[in-house]
Amino acid sequence: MGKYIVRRCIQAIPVLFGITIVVYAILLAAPGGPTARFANNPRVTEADREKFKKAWGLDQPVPVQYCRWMGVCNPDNEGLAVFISDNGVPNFLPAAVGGGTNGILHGDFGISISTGQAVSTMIARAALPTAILAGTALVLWLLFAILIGSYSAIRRYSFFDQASTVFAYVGYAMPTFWLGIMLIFIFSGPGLNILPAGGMTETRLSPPFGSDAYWTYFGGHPVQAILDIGKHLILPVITLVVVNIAGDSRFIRASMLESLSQDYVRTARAKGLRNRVVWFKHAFRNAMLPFVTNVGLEIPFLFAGAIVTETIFSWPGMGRLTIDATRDFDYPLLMGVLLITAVIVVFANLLADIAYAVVDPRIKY
Amino acid sequence: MTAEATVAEISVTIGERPAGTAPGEDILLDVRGLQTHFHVMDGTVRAVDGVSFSVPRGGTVGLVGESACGKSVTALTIMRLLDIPPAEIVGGEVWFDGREILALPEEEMRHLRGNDIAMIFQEPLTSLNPVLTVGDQISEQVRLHLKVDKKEGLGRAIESLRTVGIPNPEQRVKQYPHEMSGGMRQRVMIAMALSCEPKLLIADEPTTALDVTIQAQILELLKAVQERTKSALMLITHDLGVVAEMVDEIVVMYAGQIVEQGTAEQVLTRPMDPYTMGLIESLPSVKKRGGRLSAIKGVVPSPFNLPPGCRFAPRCPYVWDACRTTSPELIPVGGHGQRARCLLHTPAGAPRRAAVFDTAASSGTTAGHGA
Repeated sequence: MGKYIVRRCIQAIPVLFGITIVVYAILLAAPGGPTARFANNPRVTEADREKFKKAWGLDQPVPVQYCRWMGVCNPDNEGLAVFISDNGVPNFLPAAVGGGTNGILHGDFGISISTGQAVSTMIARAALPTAILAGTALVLWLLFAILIGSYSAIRRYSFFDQASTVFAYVGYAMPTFWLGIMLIFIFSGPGLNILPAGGMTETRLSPPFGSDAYWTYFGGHPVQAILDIGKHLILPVITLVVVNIAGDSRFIRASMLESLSQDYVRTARAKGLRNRVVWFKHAFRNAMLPFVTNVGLEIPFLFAGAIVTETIFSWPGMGRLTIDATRDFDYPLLMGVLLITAVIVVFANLLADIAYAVVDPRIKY
Repeated sequence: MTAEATVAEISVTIGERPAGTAPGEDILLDVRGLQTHFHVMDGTVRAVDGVSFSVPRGGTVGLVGESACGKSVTALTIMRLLDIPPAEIVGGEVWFDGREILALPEEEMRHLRGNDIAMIFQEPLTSLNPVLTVGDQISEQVRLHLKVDKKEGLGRAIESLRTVGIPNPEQRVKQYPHEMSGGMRQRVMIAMALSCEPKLLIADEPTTALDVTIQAQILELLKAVQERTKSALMLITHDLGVVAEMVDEIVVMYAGQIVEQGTAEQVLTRPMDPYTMGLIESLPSVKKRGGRLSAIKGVVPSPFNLPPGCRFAPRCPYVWDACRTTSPELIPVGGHGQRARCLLHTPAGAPRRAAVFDTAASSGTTAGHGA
């Protein structure tokens, strides 16, 4: 098992490398580019534009740009010397042995064009809000999907089953952007006005989330701060989980029904076991097997940032960062965000495979 | 021969006790007029249609018939393991150990299952839970019924695996079903069924999914443990060769009804129903070497469209007009407890009887008929 995990991690390297090339190529092929941000600004002259390109290295050949981003080329040198670090050794080597300090290979994601901040700092700041939103959503999603799905299967064709079927179809049919706006309309509109329409904290009460001042405030009033975040979480979490609960409760219901019709469930009943034991020890574990893979595929989309939901609710997370980076043609930031997303996808799948081996003894790696 | 006289004589062995009264102490399982129907989209299937038989304490009974004749449904009805709906137990009684178990509350029935009545299923791979160790699967039953702790439960699981001839039971209990061969898995099923020393063991085609060399081993094992534990055995099979070696009494079923019952010797050597005769003739044997194996012509009738008269009439070689309109009853023949469902044994069939049983005799079956 340990060997398998190591092998999968090593296999992830070429995959991620390939992803960087593909994403880089797609961004290059897209219309616009970093200079397009000045397109509607009459005060920016052609000369200014050239100066901007030179400053960001956009005048270099594309392979050089890519290699500089990767950390294979040294941005300070010209010609063939780009491959050599300031210490005179190949630039791609780790900084510890005298290699360069720039680029992904050295943990440097570059500088955001629109803010001038380090991309890694911006991602780190957006990661916590997304983790809070995605984590809460994940727990509620799995909990409700499993409860509703298995109970529907056990009480097939009961009122509960029929009601959850209706909920599933309605929930699955509702587009996220529409549901989010409707929730804001209902709960934050002038009528009820009981929940905040957006943001992560009440800006009139506390400093902006993530700043040092915020953590000082958090240390002073932890309960108040957590309740405040909790209040802001309610609508975006509902928006995120409704579709997932709707879809996966159906998935689990079908899986559980299949499991309940298996011979080993009949054997378990023939042994005189209580229904509870038959359902949860014998049927449920088998029903979860296909679901584990499913969850592994769905998790990255939560943690990479629920783009639509975060945008609707102005949630300062990865999803909003992605949208902002795209809108501003902030390619270093966009590349950083997409690379992190790719890493999450690769490792969520690895986790799903490991979890699969844990729950199914027939799988050996 | 008058039917009345024979019924009185037969009731001693076969048992036609009035409804609502317990059978004698010597009878462990008494099934009376059992009717199980399935309500499905296309209509109602009368899967078990008035089946009566009994199993004495420590006795062995074989339930024989083609696929879909209702033998498995009979067993599942006795265990009360059918999903209701779509199944419905329309009528009849099942007396087990002095109690009418169809009327028992589910909670009491649950205490009987696995403890007093155990069942072995056809397909050992799918009948064992793939994600639990065999030790866990055996010991959970032992712990439930014998109220022992985890350690003792596992100890008993190891013991029962040893009983069914599994080498290294201490290691085997930690294994999962997929780590075992088909024969081993069926031994595990048998070990599981015997773990609480049940009074009745129902084996539903226990060897069908196994290859031929393993089949013999499993049957020998079943016979051996049955004799040692003195539990009664109800063996369900489509294989007459299997019942011949295993059981004292045979019940032959066709299209949801019993068509013949009697001792193994009676049914196998002097079959009285054309269906049983057909089954026996289709068995390969050394005597018939070189010739073509005979088969019963046609197929089992659709359960939605049963023939109006005798259900076997469309396939019966001895059919005549009356068979297509009159449903025969299961009546005593031969005067020694054997019963058959065929018009040949009614007064109307008397003129044809001699010819039929002479034919059967000449084709290798010893036919005898009382009257």
